[in-house]
Amino acid sequence: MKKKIGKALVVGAGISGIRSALDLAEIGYGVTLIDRSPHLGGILSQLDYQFPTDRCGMCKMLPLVDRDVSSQYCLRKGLFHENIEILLSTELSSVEGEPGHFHVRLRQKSNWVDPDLCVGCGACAQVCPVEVADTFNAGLTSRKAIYLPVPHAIPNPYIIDMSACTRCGACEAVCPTGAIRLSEQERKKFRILVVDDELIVRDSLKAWFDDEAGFTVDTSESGPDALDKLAERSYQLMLLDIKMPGMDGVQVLQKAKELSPDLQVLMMTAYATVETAVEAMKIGAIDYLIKPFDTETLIPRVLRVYEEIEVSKGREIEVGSLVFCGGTSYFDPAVGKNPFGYKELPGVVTSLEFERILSGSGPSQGKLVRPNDGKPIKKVAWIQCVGSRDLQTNSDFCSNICCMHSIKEALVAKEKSGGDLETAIFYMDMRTFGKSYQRYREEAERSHGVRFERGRVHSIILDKPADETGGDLKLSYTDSSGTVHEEHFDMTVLAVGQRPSIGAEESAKALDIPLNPWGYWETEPFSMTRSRRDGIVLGGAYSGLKDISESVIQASSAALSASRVIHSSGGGLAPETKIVPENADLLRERPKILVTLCTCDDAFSKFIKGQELVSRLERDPAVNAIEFVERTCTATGWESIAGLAEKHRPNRVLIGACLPYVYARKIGELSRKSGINPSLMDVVDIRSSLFPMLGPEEEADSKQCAAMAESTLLAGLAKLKRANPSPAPGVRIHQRALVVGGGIAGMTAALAIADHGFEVDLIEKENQLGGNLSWLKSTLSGHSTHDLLNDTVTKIEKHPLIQVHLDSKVVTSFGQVGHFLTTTQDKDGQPESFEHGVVILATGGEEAATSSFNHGKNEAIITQKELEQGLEHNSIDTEKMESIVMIQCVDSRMEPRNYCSRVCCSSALKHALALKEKNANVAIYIFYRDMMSYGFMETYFTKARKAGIIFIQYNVNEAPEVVIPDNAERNGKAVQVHGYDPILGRKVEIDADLLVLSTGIVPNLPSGLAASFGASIDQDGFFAEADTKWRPVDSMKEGVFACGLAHSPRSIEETIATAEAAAQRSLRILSQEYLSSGKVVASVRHSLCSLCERCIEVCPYEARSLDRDLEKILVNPVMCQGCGSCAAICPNSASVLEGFHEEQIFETIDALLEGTI
Amino acid sequence: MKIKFTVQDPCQIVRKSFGDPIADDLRFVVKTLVGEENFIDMTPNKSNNYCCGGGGGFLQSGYVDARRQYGEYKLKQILATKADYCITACHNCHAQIHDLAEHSGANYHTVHLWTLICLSLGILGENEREYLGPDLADVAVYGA
Amino acid sequence: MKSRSLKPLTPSLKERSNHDSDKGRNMSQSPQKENEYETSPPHDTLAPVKDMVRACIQCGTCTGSCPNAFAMDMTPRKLWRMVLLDRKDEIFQSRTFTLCSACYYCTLRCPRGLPLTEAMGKLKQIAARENLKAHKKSIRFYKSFLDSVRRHGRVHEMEFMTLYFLSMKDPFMPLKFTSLGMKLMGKRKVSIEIPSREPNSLEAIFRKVEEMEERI
Repeated sequence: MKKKIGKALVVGAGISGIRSALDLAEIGYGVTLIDRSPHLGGILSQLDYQFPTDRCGMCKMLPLVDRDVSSQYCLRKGLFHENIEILLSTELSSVEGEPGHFHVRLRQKSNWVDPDLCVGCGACAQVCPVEVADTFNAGLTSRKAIYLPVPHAIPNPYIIDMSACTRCGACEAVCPTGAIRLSEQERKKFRILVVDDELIVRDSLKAWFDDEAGFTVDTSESGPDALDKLAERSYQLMLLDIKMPGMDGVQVLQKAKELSPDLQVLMMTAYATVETAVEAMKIGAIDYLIKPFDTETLIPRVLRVYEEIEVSKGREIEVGSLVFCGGTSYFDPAVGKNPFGYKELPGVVTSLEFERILSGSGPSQGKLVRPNDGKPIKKVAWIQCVGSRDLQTNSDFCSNICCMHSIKEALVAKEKSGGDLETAIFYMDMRTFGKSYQRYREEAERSHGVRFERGRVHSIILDKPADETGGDLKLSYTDSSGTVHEEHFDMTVLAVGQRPSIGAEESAKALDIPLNPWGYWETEPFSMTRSRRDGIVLGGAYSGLKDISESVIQASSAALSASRVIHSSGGGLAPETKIVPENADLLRERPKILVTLCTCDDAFSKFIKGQELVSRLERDPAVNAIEFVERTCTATGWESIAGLAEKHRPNRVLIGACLPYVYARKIGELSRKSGINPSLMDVVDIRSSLFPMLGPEEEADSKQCAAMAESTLLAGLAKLKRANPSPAPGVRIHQRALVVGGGIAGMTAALAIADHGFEVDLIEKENQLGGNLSWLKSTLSGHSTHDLLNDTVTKIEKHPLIQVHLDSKVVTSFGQVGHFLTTTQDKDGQPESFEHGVVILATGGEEAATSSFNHGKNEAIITQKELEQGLEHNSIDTEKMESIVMIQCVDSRMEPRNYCSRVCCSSALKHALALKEKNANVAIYIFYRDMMSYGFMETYFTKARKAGIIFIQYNVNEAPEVVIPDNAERNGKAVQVHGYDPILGRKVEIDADLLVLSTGIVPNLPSGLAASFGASIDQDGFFAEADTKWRPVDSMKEGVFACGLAHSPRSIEETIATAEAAAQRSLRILSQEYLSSGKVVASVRHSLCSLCERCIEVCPYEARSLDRDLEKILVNPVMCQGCGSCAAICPNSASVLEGFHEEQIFETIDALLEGTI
Repeated sequence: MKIKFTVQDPCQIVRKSFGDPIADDLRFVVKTLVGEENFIDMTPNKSNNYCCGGGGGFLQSGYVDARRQYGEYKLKQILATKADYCITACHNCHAQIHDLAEHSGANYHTVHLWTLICLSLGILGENEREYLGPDLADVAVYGA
Repeated sequence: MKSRSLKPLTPSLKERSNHDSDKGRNMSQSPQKENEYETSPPHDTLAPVKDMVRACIQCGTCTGSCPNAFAMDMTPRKLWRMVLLDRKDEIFQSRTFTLCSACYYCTLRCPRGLPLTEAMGKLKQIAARENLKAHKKSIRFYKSFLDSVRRHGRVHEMEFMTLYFLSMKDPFMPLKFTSLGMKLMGKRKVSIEIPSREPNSLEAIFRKVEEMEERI
């Protein structure tokens, strides 16, 4: 594959960070992915199940084409990609430079355990005397001070939590590999210089830090003397007095910083000179200490400096762009008034804690019992909007995900309980605004019996019911009619809201990025990812909490924005030539296999060296040499393998070590050095077999263990011997894109691709570009959509690589990823043909037409779109109006259009506020079912309420009725709306001058059009994603993407995000002339094939087709994902999966059995 | 003497005005007076404490049955502590909580906070012991 | 919050016969009555209360929280809704706000952070100022109480009750209080003597309050 020289830094390795990193890596950039925490995966490392499948599926994000650059392995456990370097426990310390050329300093904290040496035996945790709350299980269980941050990560070294560690050294003594480095020797290397004119201060500080704390301390009595000492040798920390005769502390500080910029300085000051000390901090001191000192604060402060600075590894890198995917934090319900008794009452947990209770790796191994008292859970309540939509907790926003999250938790809990669980969700508005969410909710209610109660629980109290049955948590709430109910539950889950990510405010300040009114990073208008500073982009929840699919879309959009900057600054243009030469003659060579065996720092030596295992391997004629490597996982170990390959000149390499998945990058390197194709190298895990012999249980059957290791090796040998040495197949890519639809989505996607230097054909069926933007005026937040449209159209027209084809329609298309042939027709019926490598469907959508509520029978009954147009053209005179009614969810959120259109509530709010602005005396009534003012839009909902707009909730079976009165009764009003106000408990009649209907969005993606590209549509006519969460803009057929309203209802900025995501996914293919497949792909032995076509039906990726001219079944190797369905269904064994040939598999199985029988 | 005390958080100073900090202060004073081991808190308490039901002019407004029914919560809550005395720092609360006990025949005493302070200081007069139970009625009578 | 003078919001909204939660009281209004109200609001007396509760989202936390909701003829949530819909007559026919004990539970928990207890207080004030018939009893009770306090610097129970009985003009009323009165006298809680406190010591406070009330 080709390499680009561009580099990006992705900050935050949660789901968004992983997606952005993969996206950038897949188009060839080098990515450094850092995370503050010691593990990958962010919040998702703690969540096992995701709706709508209520399973995981994160691995679906792994590369699909050229997929051998990355380990195809559980992504929750680890990410291993050739182009991605992952640095954990790492923070950004500074950013300098300009877009395309940022100079970044990173700081990696030491975890006090050498990850290369730790074998994860756990002996340390057994002896550790400290118990603290385990953050992985949200504090529901405890762990030791030396611990595994997540149980399932690979690799998974132990780390030490220094805030809990007592430095007793017990772990260090028992560690079999010497991985733990707490020793006093390390501290001696930390040199402190104490500068003070008072002898007593110098002496006592020396006594404390040298004799007691174990550092090396020198002293100076004056500034000049200190500077001499600094010039002589390097110090890590200086404790500097401010008031000294001659040269004062501030002067010394200035000079010292010139002399050694990395020196850390703590100022020492009497109370009187605190202001000077604060000044000193501005010129580089890290903090100040006030005299007189007491040891209890002073020593820990210096220890902190020692930990933070000395043991962390500084690192500097150059990157073209930075992507921030820092995630969010969550509201802590224990803070403040705590009406729900969180942390006080048993059984009151947060949504995240409940997620852990459901998890198999949670406090009760997934059993539904209360964590504090073990009481079985029979009845659970969810309380929504805890720390969201709450002005008292400073959260005038909706947290977006909690409604769906709670429904999912309820369903998973029901499933876990085997049906013996009552669930109730207490909510104010059930915000099921995503694609398919409304149906998910109804399914939960109807088929699974999840109870939905509209009502806000005000508090929880502990109250044992009289008959001692049922739960002891008493909730009371008011239903819509005003009746107060009391109910007992065993557990109450607080659906906690979002809060800005820890440290987000500081980093925004440091990077000069503004915060929005809610405290999150502000993005540019109409972009969810670009910040004010070019080259610094935002992914995922950093700009506000999002669910997985939106985060994934936004992460791809962020990757695109980053890639654009890197590309435009020249970072994306220089391809590296491929280093690995293809060896066509290999087929004729007999296998010469180099076997290297890891001795794991001598630990395995006695079990393998000179043992039966080695002689058994030697008996195989394919084995060319057997060598021992001391530590395969270290750089030295790996270099020695490269040396051995040089020496023995093998044509295949088998490496016996551990954790095979982590070697993807290293295999790539070795391949370039040795000239052996990566597919002819393999790492097998012998450690798991041999490991029992290292542990305390010496009685482990060493013969059995050795035999298992032997069979593992023999199996690896069999696999390699039979591996097909011919290079992996691939396809040539026609590096040109076709975008269907010239609305904002299509235009954005086209520009994004063209800006990367690839030609784009943009097809639009109308005679002008713009789609829905041509009638929209502005957004709820007040940004002009006219400007956006004009800017975008101008850019499109000026772009040399974009060809716009107006009045054109797609007639037909053939082909597959890399090469499609599409025919269009213009208004005169003239056909035109396009060749392209990928296609983006951006065919848009439109406001749904309706005849409900008497629409069309009276000119005072209009839709939101008609209102927007009327206001724009002043054809609706609102000045004289006294009363306006709006009805939400017209024909929406009920079958057959059972989905939320997402934009109607914001349109209604936008128009209602605008109408009030124009005419403060007009009464506006909005009939709604659930206000979907998600995210920061909630603020406008509040604003509308404050403006006096009356909101009336209705249920679908009590929808308002619209009457057009006879002239006599008319009363000057055009329409009468009859509804029911549940709060008043009465029917209401409203005489209205204007009735506005929110009819929602219908897609404009004819099934024929989708089908001609091999994509499919869902039951509502929207584009069907390959996977709603993990591959949200891909179709199952590779090379076909969708964005905008054709994909799902969404706002303009959300549309732009999908367009950028689709462009990013396309670029991954377009950026390469020749795309190689993975090594595990299917092929057909035509001589055995009977053309029964069953393999075509069964292929989920549409990678197979029948060529009628050749009379052959063809497999597109890039689209094939190697699932093996075809091989399994083929009655003649004509379909084979590379890497799983029969003889190869049988020999591997034989080898595995040989050792164990 | 093994006499147990609980304390009522007045709505006006806690929820309305100063929140949990003043409720904590109130507990500090009460615990100092009666001894930590003799103090039993009601649940819920502090900001989330139940109102006695006598405030806002309710005591005077004439809806006696409604007021007493309202007070049921408070009554149950006090009884659940099994305390012998309920200390009230608010006159309104005192009147209501006292009435609740009297009306329902509950056997706790309702005392003002100042009464206990004065009792502890040994300056509580003979004629200021109206609300003390027999167990405390004769303790440290001022001037005796 | 900026107070804007809005016309009553609901000239165009009428309610039809109640069907369930009004506990049999006939709340429906004839169009004529509606019009009367529409054309002649002296001034929007509810405006200050409306400003307090405008951001209400009808979640019902106040009603659920209210320890006295059971005794109210109209739940607090409904009361706020009525305020927003300008249903002045119904609001003041209701005794909901007089039953507020000012426990501040609703204020503590309202997700909109609305000053609901203050709003209840404001309604009490409006009712008192407008001397509404439905609230005669409690208004006079308060007034008699305060008159006594104003005169003596503390309440003089005997005088207070006398004032109250006189203002109620109900000859049977004193009888209802006889047993309580006797009990109180037995406990030396009610004295027949005129208290010796210096009068007018609280006069300044009363004046200030009057001044403040004028301003509203």
